[in-house]
Order: sequence, then C-alpha cells, then structure tokens
Amino acid sequence: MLRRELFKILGAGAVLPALSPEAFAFFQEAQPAKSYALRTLNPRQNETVVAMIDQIIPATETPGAKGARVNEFIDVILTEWATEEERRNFLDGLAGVDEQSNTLFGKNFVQASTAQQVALLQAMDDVAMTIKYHHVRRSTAETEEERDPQLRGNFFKIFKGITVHGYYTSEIGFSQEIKEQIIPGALHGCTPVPLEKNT
Amino acid sequence: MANTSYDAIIVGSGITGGWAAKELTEKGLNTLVLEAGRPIVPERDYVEHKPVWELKYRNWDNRAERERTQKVQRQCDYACDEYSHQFFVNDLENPYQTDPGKPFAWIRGRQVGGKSIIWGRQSYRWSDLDFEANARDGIAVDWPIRYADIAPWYDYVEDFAGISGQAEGLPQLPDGKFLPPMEMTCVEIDARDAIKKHYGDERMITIGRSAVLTRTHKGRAACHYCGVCHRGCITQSYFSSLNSTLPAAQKTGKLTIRPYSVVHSLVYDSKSRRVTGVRVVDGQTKNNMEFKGRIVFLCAATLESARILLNSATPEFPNGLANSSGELGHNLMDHHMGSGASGNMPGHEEKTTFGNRPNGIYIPRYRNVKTKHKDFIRGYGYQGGGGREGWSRGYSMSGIGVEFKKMLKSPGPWGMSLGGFGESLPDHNNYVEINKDLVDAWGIPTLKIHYQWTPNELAMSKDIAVQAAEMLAAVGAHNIQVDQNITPPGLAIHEMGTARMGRDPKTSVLNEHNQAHDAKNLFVTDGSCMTSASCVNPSLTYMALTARACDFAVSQMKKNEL
Repeated sequence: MLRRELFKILGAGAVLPALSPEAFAFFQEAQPAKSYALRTLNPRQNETVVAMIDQIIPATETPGAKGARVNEFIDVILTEWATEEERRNFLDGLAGVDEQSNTLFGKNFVQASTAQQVALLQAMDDVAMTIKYHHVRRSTAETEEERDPQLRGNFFKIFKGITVHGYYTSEIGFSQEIKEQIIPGALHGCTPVPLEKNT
Repeated sequence: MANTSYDAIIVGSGITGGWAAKELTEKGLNTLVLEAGRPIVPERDYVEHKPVWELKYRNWDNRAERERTQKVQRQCDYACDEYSHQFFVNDLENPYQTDPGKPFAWIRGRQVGGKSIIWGRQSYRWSDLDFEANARDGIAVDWPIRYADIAPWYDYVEDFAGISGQAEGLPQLPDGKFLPPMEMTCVEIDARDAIKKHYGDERMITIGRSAVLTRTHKGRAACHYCGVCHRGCITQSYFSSLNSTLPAAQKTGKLTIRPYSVVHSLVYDSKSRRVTGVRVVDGQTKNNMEFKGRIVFLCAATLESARILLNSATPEFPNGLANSSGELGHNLMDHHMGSGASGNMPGHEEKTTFGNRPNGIYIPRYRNVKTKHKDFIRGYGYQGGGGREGWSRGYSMSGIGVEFKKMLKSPGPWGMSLGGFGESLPDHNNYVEINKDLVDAWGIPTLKIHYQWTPNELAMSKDIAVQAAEMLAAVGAHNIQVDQNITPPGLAIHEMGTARMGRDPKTSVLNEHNQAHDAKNLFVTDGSCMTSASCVNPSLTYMALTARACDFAVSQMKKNEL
C-alpha cells in the first residue's frame, strides 16, 4: 500500500527520477519466504532437478538457481501449467538423465562428481543448442502447443529454458544478479555499459 | 430514481468516447457515458510495477484459463498476458463468428478506458496522400475532408494529449506539436545515418511519435521508463481516457459515467427522424433500461458501433439504422502486419541503453509517394528498434555454469528489427452482419465477420519483407532473418471503416462531420467512420475527428439545427 501512496504523491509532483533504486527497494512489498510443498516432483526427482539447476546457474557472488528456488517454479509449472503429455515427457527426460549418468558413470546424477555432472550436462547442451526451432508468434500460432512452446521439443532445451526463466524472473536473478530496475526513472539511448555489468 | 435524460449520450469510454466526454462536457452539455465494462481503479487495477516474481507463472500466464476464456484475446501477444489479461474481454461472454479458413481476430477491451489502457500509443498524422487516395485510385468513395480540415484538430488533440516526437518536414507524414523526442539507441543512430546515405531523400528513420510524456505536461508526470504502459500508469504519463480525458470531463461536473451498461441498440423516432435514446442491458443485473439524449455519439469501437446500428433496425431501416446506403458494416479494414526482418548490428560493444523506452523507431511510407510501384497501390511504414539482447538469450545460448551466468549478466549482442504496417483497401465484400442465432452473455445478437486480405495487401506484404532485409543489409546488419508473413486481419487492432464518411448519402453512412446522413443527431466518431485506412496508426486521427465532430455538434445545437 505504501508504494501506491508514494506514487500518488509522485504522480502530482513529477519527481520520479529523483527516486533512487534503494528508496524504491524500500517500498517494494517484500515477498515472505513461504515454504512450498512440492506437488509433482518426488524427492528423488527434486534432488536431480536441484543438482541440475545448480550446475546450469551456480552460486557465484550472488545465489544461483538453487538459491532462487527455481526447482519450486519448475514444480508449479509441471503441476499447473504443463499438459499431461508435457509433464510426462519432462519427467521421462529427467529419468533419462539418471539413465545416462548410470551408463556413463555407474551412478545416479546426484551421486556423480561435479566434473561428471558438468560433462553430462555440457554434452546434453551441445546437442540441444544446435537444434533450430522455428519460433511461431502467439499472434499467428494456430494450435495451443504453438502458442505455448516452452515445454515442447528437446528435453534439455526445455530444462535449460525453464531454469533460465525461473532464475532471471526471481528477485535474486532480477535484482541481485542482473541489477535490473523496475523503475529506471530515466532514458539513455546510447550510454556506457555500467561497470557492474561489464563482465 | 436515477436521471435517464441527458443532453448527450456517448457509447463507449475508450479513446474516442473519452474525447467526446471531455469536449461535450467542457462545452456545457450534461453528458452520460455508457461503458459496457467495469470501472477501473488505477491504484488497484494497474500492475505496471508489480515485480514478475510476484506472478505465479512468472508471466508465462495461467495458460489453461487463458486458452479457455481468452483464446482470441491472447493472440494480442504484446499485452494480453498474466499482467494485463484483465483489460481484455472474456471470449466466452463475447462470441462472434467468421467464415471457415478466414479468421478475424477481434480484440476488445470492455472497461472504463476501453482499449486506451492497452493501446500502442503510436501517434501519426495523416496527410493528403491519404485523404486523396480513394479519389486518386478511383476506388470506394472519396473522403469528404482533406488535411486542411483536420490539421487544426490534430493541433488541438496533440496539445492536450502530449505527443513526443521529432519534426521531419515530410509531406506524407506531417509534423505535429511535439514534446521532446525520446533518444535513439546507438545502432538506431547508425541505421538512421546509413539509411540517409544509402537512400537519400527516399527513405528515413525517425523516432516513434508516441503519446508518452517526455516532460511534465498539463499536470501529468513525465515518463519514468518502466516500459510496460499496457499494464497501466499510475503517474498518468501516457495518454489514455483514464489518465487524461475522463478526468478533464469529470472536472466540469457535467459527466456521468455508467459502467456495466451494455448497449443493445439505439431508439429511432421516424417522425422526427432522430435518435431519441439508447437501449441498455445492465451488465450485472441484465435488466433492460433506456436512456434519453438530445444527441448520441457512438464511440464503441468500429465493430461494436456497427453492431449496435445493425441491431437498431426499424421498419424504415430494415438493414440497420442509418443504413439507407447499404454500406453500414461494409468496407471493414485493418492494417496488415507480420512481414519484416531482424539482424545483429556491429560495434558499440562498450555502450548500451538505460531505461525501458516504451517506443521504437519509425520508417515513414516511401512506396507510391513520389514514384509508382508496379505491384501494388498505397504503402506501408515500419516500426522497429535496435537494442542489446538481455538475459532471455540464455534460452538458446550455448553453455552452462559460471561462465554462462557471467555472460548473461552483461548485455548481449546489438540487434535491430523492422516490422511493417501496411495499408489495406476498402472492399465492400469485407463486412459484418448480425447473426441472430448467436447471442452474447447479455442476450444481444452477435456479429459474423467476413474478411479476406485483397491481392493488393498480399503483394505489399512481400515487398515489406524484402525491403526490410535490404535496408538492414544497407545499414550493416548481419545474421539477417526475414519474416514474410501476414497476420490474421484484426490483429493490428486498427479495424476501421464499417460506417464510412462520404459526400453522398447513397454511398456512405456519415457526412464530413461524422454525422449520420440518415439521423442528424447521431454521430459516429470511432474507427468505423474511416473511408480509407492509410498505413499509419489511426488513433490520433480518431481523436481529432471526434473533437472536430463535437465542436460541430454543439455549434449546431446552439443554432437549434439539431
């Protein structure tokens, strides 16, 4: 509510650009860290998912996909968003990761060493990223699958896509890692890359 | 007992209804605005600053629900999403039909403010190239007005709405009264310079002309560049009925807005040859009501206004009120989109953009301006833009781990894209009719829409793709991807033409003042009045025509001519 009151005042006075990101952060209604009970992923599947997302977007100076609880976003999407077929394919793909891990390393993915995990995911990524997908805009898509393609196609492409999306749309990914601002307060068309983004 | 008699009744509260409300109340008329949908409370309903992590599906939307209730609306992919779907109608309550294999995407917003909440805000003037087009080509009917008739009204509405842009002195795209232009990006500046070098005076790039404030204007704050106007704007920095015209109308004390008022039809008195009232079905109780007014402004949007008139048939007008010409519901047009190109741009590794600009660049029409194209008449413009890719390139970027994360933290490659908006031709065979066998949730007969692009649009669409690729190559882009596609009609949400203006009552529905030939106290000022489509975004022209028609109507009332 505070934030809305603030904007009412600002709307009249036109002093928005003076609002610093810190001040804005103060007014953002903090999301309480609710505990989330998994509904689709069983404990073993969840462990595999957590291990995978942790390798795809690991913790660095900021938390990674595990810290941002992307596994919970994945569970929400699998439970409420996916079609039955998409959910089955996803879970089959997940089981396939363990199968490959067993074939290659003689153990399940979560028990494999970091180097082994990375090697397997890197191999899956090499295949997935070479597949070209024809992107159909929702405006011209004719079928439901075309309109919502996020869970269609190669398993690892799906998995990486949902991990990237879940991470960079989390508060950690958006605010801490990318340092995006909801209200930039100014426009610059051609300006130096800020130091913190110049990696 | 609420008042049921007014000086003026306006049907609809969107872009044109809002303008009519402002003009008529400021001229002293006791005015009723009938809005089919719910009221909007900005503090509650605007969602532009809601963080994406507060959305359950992180803007992937509630897919099953959207497929079930907004299958048509969600085709509007820039806006009908997890944030803004509440500004679009429920398709289950608002059915319509099309011919097999000939889709028409009818995108609707029923709420106070209408589609002005979610519009694209691009604001361009028409020129005499447009107003003379039908006469020059010998098709449809001639516009009854020319640029000189509407120019002062463009000035008038721009002055109030606040349009940012750059004056360029082009005859085919007249300059307006602009607020300072938004900045171009590094690669847009490069492209602008390269286009000038390569094409001379024939083609050019300018910054989009947008109804977004670049400085404080008439008590509304400058844009703060959150970049998602279609979710609302608590600082009122873009033009919408809610942000601008309705508050002005409210200030007069002469305005009554009645939400949940679904208009069924108009009441016509054959003795006085006047519209005497409006039949309404209450959106919540479904009770029937009638309101009386001395004049009626139909501003319900092109297809809805046509539907109301078609549903208002009388013994004298068996094919729809004010339809002695037989043109009511016909000559439906929309802009065609879908063709264009995109590519990566070189250089500027150390530069980026800051802020989310709710605007792009514009390439004004160049076809059939000075020379004649062999394959089609009329023309098209491009909207587009250039910027650096963000984290979403991670979906398809190779790699995992620390290095991958580090890459996504820094801005990605520069890209540039161009998407065409093409003029379509008025065609009597593109039309709507009433389907009595299918009623909406309020028992009102619905529309059957018959629409097909004409060969002229298909030929133009090909050229749009080819020229976009050629221009991107000319400005040094690489990895150029060409889209040659034509979207289903309706999706530009520039539908217009179903009650066209003209000089002759035998071939047109409205005269040069948006006044019905057949009922002089009836005015239609939304997109249905359009005689041809131009290729520029039409809303600014609707605003100007509405203000102009209001001025005429009130002057006629004062002379006791109405």
